[in-house]
Amino acid sequence: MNPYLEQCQVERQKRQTDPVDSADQQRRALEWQRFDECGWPNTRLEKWKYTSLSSLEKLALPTALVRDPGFVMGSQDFLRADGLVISWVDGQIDLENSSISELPAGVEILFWSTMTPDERDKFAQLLVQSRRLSALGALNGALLSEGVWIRVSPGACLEVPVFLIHQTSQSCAMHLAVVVEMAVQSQLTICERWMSTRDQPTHVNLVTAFHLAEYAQLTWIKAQQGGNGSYHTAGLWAALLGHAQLRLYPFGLAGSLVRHDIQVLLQQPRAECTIRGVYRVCDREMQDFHTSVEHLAPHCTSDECFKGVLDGSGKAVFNGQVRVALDAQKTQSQLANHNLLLSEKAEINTKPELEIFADDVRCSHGTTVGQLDENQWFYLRSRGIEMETARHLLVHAFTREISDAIPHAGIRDVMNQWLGDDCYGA
Amino acid sequence: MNASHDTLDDLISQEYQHGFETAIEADAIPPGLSEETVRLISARKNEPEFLLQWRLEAYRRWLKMTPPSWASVHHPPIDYQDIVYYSAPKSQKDGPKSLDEVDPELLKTYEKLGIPLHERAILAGVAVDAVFDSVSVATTFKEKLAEVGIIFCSFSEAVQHHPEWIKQYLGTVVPVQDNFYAALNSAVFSDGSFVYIPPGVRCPMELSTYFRINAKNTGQFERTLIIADKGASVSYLEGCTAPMRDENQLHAAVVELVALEDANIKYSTVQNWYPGDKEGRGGIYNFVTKRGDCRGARAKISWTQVETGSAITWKYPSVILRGDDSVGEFYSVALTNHRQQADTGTKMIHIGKNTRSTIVSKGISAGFGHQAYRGLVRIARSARGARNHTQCDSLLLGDRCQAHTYPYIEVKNNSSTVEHEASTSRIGEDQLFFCRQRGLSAEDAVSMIVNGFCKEVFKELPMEFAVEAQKLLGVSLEGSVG
Amino acid sequence: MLQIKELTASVGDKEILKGINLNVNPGEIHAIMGPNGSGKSTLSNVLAGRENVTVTGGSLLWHDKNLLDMEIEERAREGIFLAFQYPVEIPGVGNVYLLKAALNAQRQHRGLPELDAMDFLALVKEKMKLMEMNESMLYRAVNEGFSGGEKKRNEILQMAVLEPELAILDETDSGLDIDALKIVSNGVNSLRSPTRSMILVTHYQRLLDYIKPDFVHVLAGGRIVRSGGPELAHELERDGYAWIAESGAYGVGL
Repeated sequence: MNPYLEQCQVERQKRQTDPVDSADQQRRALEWQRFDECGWPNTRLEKWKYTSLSSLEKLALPTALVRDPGFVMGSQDFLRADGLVISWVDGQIDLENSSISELPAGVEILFWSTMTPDERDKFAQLLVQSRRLSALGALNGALLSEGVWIRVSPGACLEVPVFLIHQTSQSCAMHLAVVVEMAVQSQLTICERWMSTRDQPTHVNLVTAFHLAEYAQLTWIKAQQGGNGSYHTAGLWAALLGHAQLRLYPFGLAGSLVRHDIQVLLQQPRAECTIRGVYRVCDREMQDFHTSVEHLAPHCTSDECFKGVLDGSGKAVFNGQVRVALDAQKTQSQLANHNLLLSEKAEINTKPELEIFADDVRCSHGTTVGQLDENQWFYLRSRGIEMETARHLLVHAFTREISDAIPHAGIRDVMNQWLGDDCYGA
Repeated sequence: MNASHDTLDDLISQEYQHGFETAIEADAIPPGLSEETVRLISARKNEPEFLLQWRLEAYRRWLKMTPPSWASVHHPPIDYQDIVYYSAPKSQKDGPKSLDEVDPELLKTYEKLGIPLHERAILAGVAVDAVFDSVSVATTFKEKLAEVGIIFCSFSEAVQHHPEWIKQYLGTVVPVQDNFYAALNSAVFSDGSFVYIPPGVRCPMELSTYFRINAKNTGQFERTLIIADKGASVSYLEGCTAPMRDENQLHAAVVELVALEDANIKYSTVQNWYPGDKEGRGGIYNFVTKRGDCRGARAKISWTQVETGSAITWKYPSVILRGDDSVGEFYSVALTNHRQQADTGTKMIHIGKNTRSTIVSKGISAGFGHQAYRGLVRIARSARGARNHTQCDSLLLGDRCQAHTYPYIEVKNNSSTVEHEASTSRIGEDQLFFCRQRGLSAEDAVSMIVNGFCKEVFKELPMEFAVEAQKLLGVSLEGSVG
Repeated sequence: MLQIKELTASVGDKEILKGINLNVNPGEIHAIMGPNGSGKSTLSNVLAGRENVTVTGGSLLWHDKNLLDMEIEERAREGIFLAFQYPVEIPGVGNVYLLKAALNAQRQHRGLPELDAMDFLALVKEKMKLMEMNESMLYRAVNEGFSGGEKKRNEILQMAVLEPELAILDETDSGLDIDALKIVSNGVNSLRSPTRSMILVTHYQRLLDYIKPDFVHVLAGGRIVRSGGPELAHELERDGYAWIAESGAYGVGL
C-alpha cells in the first residue's frame, strides 16, 4: 500500500469511531471495499494509460479539521456579479465568508455535515453514478468529508449564479461531493473556483452529480487554478430528461495534476448538452479530461469543444467519447479538440472516440494539433509588437473563443481575464 | 426508405461467389500445435537451422502470450489444437517446373476466381504468385523479373535460394513477440511471397499474390517479406478468397515491408475471404499483422485495402517512419454486413524529421455489421516538422449496425501538425431522392453514392483492382465516361 | 396530360395540401405562386414522389396513368423532371457520370439504345454551352463545392439533357443574381416547345419577367385560391400576399 493510501486508512479509522450514523458507516465500508476491488489507478488501465498518479501516491495527506491560523483569505473581488457565495476552506464550509443566509425562493441548499441520516442516504443515492466513474469515486464514498446539495424547485429560475469558492490553507486531502437537482423548467448557473494559492501539496477528490428534469437548464462553469503541488481529481455525472439543457464550461488553468471524468447521459428526447472547455499546462503540469456523452434517446444533440494550450514540459490528455445507443435516431453530435503545442517538451495525447449503434445520426469529430499561425505571428511582430506579447495575444485569442461562449457576462469577463493571465502568474 | 434498404440488402447480401471447393488431394499434417509441429513444418520445408530456431523461439514466446482482448470484436475462443498447420496440394510435392505442370484443377480454381493465370499474366502484365492453402504453387514471370535483378518467389523458395536476405530481414519489422497472432505465425508459417527489388530498379509490372484457403480446418499462416532497396519501387497486389464452410477458419498472416532510402512500396489488398452466412455461421477470422518500415530517408510506403470479406477482420497495416522525409499512407474501405465484424485501422509512427502520413478510412456498415476504426498517430520528440492528416468516415446502412472510431493521437513535438477529421452518417435520403428523380433505380443510386463515398480510396488502387473492388461492393458502374 | 384532382397530402401529422386542382396541357407553362408555407414545395415533392409526403386523397394522373402508383424513378423516366430548390451534393460521384446514368436509364425505359461515350459527351457539351457552363464542372462531384448559381445551372443542364415532358422548377430563381437568373431563364426558354410543359414554383414575380407563363395560380393554405393570366403575377408583385389573409382564403372554412 502506498503512503497516500496508508493515510487514507488512518482517516478511515478516525471516521469509524464516529458513532452518529451507522448507515453512513455501512456505506463507507462498502465503498472502501469497492475501491479495494478497483485498485489504485495505474497506467496499465486504458483510462489511465497516459496519466500516472505516482507522484500523488507518495503523499500522505491528512484531512484538515482546523484551518491554519496564519491563513489569509484570497481576494474575492473577482465576484463582480451578484450571486450566492458558498465559501470553502480546506474542504470545510466557511459560513462567515458565504452569503447564503437568505436564499431566493425556489432554491434549497443543504450541507452534508448537517444533514439528517435520511438526507445523507438520499444524497448518497444521487451520487451512485458519479462515484462509479473511477476508482477515486469509490475512495470519495469511503472518505467523504463534506458535501453540498442544491435543489431548485419546479419553474424556479435563479437570476444570480451560485458561486462555490474553494481555497486551502494547508497541505491536506479533501473528499467532497456536490449534487444539483433541477426540477422541471428550473434554471440555474453555478460557478466553481478552485484555488490553492500556497504551494503546498493538496488533493481535492470531488464527485458531482447533476440531475436535470424536463426542460431544466443548468449552466456550470469551473475554474481550476491550483498551485504547485495541487492534485485535483473530479468525477462529474449528469443525467438529462426530455428537453433539458446542460452547459458545461470547465477551465483547467493550473495545477500539478488535474483529472476530470465527465459523463453526460441524454436520457430522453431533445435533451441538449454543450461542453466548452480549456486546458492549459506549463512546466510539470498535467491536465486530463475524459469526457463521455451518451445519447440514449432520439433527437438529442451534443456539441463539445475543448481547446488545449501546452507549454513548458506540460502534458495533457483528452479523451472525448460520444456514444449513440441503439434507437437513439436523429442524434446530432459534434466533438472538436484543438491543441497548441508551444514548447519542445510539451505533450498531448488525444482520442476523440465515436461509438455508434444507431443509423440515422449525424456525428462528427475533428482534432488538430499544431502551433501558432506563423503568418499571424509575423504580422503582429511586423507591426512592432514584441515577440512574447504577440505570442501571448494569439494564445489568448485561441482560448478566448471558449470563454466567450459563457452566457453569464460577469463570469465571462473574469474568465477572459484569467485566460489572459500568464499561466505562471496570478 | 424501406425500398432502398431492401435493395441495398440485396446488393450487399449477394451470395458469396468464391465459395466453391476444389477437389485436390492435400498433403497435410494432423491438427494440433506443439514444438513437434513446428519442427515438422520446418523439416518438410527443408529449412536451415537458423529458421527452425527462430520458429521455436516464436513458439515459446507464443505459449506465454494471450490473445488480445482490446479489439471490439467478439468470437468464441479459438482451439489452437484443432487447426491443421500445414496443408499442401499433393501434386505440388515435387514442384511444378512450369505453369504447364501445375495441376489443371488448380488452374481452374484460379479461373473461377477470375484470375486466369496465363491470360492475366500476359494481358495485364501482372506477375502472379498464387498461394493455395499454405504453399505457393506457381509464380509467373519470374524470368522476366530476374532480368532486372528482381527476386519474386515463394517464401520457401527464398529460404532455399536466398537465405541471407531472410536472415537479415525476417522479423525485423514485426518481431516474433509483437503480438499473439504474429508470434503464432512466426512459429508455424508455411509459405508466402518474397520480393526483393535491387537498388534503383522500378519493378516493370505489378506483382500479385492470390491467397485461397481450400482445405477444411486449415489455418493459413503465410508470411510475406518485401524489400525495396535504395531508390527501388514496387507495386504489390494481394487478393484473397476462401470456400464456404460452417466452421470458422483462422488466417493469421504477417506482412513485412522494408523500404530503404528513396524506395517506394505500394501494397494493395482486396480481401474477400468468406464472411460467413447471414446468421454469422462460418467465415474466416482474418487476424493479420502488416507493417512497413521506412528505414531510409525519403522512403515511402503506401497501404491500400478493400476489406469486404471475413467474419472477423483484425488488421492494422502500419508504417514506421524512421527515415527523414519518409512518407506513410493508408487508404482503406471496409464493409461489414450481416454479422461481420471488423476492427481495423493503422498506426503511423513518426520518428524521422519531416515525415508525413495520410490516413483515409471509409467504413460502411450494414445489417448487423460491426465496425471499428482504430488508429494510432504517434509523433515522437525527434520527428520535427512531422505532419499527419486523417480522414475517417463511416456510412451507415441499417439500424442494427455499429460504427466506432478510436483514434489515438500522441504528439510530443511542437513543430508537427496533426489533423484528424471523422464523420458518421446515414446514407442521405436527399441524395437518394435526387438520384431517383433523375431516373436511377434505388439500387443504382445506392451503389453510386456508396461508390462515391469510397472514391478517395479506390483511386489509390491499380486499375484492375479498382474494378474488382467496385464489383465487390456490389457496384455495377459502367466504364467511366470521358 | 397532367391532371391533379382534389389532391390532399400531409407531411408527418400535418396536412399541407388541402385539395389541389390543376390541369396542365402540352406546351403550357403554369406558374404557382404563394407565400412561404403555402405548400408550394410540397406540391413539387408530391409530383416527384418524395416519400416523406403522404398523399391522403384525390388523384394524380399523368397521360391517364395513375402517377401515385409509380416509384420516384419511374416518374422520372416517364418524363417528369424536378429542378430542386436545394440540389444535394453527392461527394465522389462525378457530375458526368450521374448525367450519363440518368440519360441511359431513361433511354432504356423508352426502348432506345444507350448512348455511347462519344455521342453522349457531344450532347452534353452542346447543352453546357447553352448554360454557359465550364466543361470542368462535368468532372467535379455532383454539386460539391458548386456555388448557388452553379447548382441551379447544373439543374437546368440536367433538364436540357434529359428533355422531360414536364419540368417542375422549384424556386429556381432563389439565390440567383441577375446574371445567373438570365442564363438560367435563357436555358429554360430554349427548352420551351409545344410538347413540353412546365410548372414554375416561385415566391416572387421576378422569374416570370424572364420566363413568361401562360397561367398563374396562387397557392395559399394548401389550396389554389386564384388563377389567372400573367397579369395576376404583376398584381401579386404590387399587392403582395397580404390580401389572401384578409380575404380569408386561408383556413379550412372556405
